[in-house]
Amino acid sequence: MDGVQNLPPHVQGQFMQNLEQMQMKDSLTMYNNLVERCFNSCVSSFRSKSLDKYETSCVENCASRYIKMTQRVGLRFAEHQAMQQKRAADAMGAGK
Amino acid sequence: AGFSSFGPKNRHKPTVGRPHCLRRIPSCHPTQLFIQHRSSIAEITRVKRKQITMNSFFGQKEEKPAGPDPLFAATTEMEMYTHLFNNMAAACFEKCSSRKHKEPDLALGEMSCSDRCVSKYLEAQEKVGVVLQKANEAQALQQKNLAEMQNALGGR
Repeated sequence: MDGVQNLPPHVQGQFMQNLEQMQMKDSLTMYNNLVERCFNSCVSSFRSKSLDKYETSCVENCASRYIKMTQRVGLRFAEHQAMQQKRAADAMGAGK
Repeated sequence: AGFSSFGPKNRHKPTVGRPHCLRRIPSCHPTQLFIQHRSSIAEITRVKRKQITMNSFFGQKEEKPAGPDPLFAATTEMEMYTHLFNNMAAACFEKCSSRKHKEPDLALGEMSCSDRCVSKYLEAQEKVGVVLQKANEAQALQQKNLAEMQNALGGR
């Protein structure tokens, strides 16, 4: 995260704006990917025009499980980053 | 340590113009995590190990993050983290969750599988970064030798 920490103040505003745009784009991309993933794993027959009961519950469960897993992955990722920062800061402190 | 806004209810995100299903996406998006993190990590000074990882990600583009264009560096770094997070979530979902999707909640086994998946993925990423950095250094050395040889030949 060095690039983010060492930004001079006059570009920070633009960076935050870029960040928001990136976030918006990314949530839409995630939505599309999620739909594709759940469709591929749940829907396999095309006998009728609408989803049957099994397919509906499968798609809903798939989406909710993916979101829960993403939450969990995000939590572990942030913990890992924090631990890495702490370890490196200790190493820097010990080096001095 | 700043993770309190996890969870399905996040009323601070703007909901105008977004499809209904996106309004309750939790704030565990990587960019949100890093915004929360910034205040805590702003006190930590530049870290050598992080720099090695950063160099291995940037490869031949730039040596230091605070190089010619800090905005580009910061934006690229954020994009890199976003891609990393998305790929990691997709890979762990594919590997750890069963295809049946009978329940809306994750099972205990799936949860511990995803924890392990995250730590293995990040370890693999570090190792690949080291390999890439070595390859870059070797290539730079080779190019330098080639240039010296050409200079020596051209001088005569």
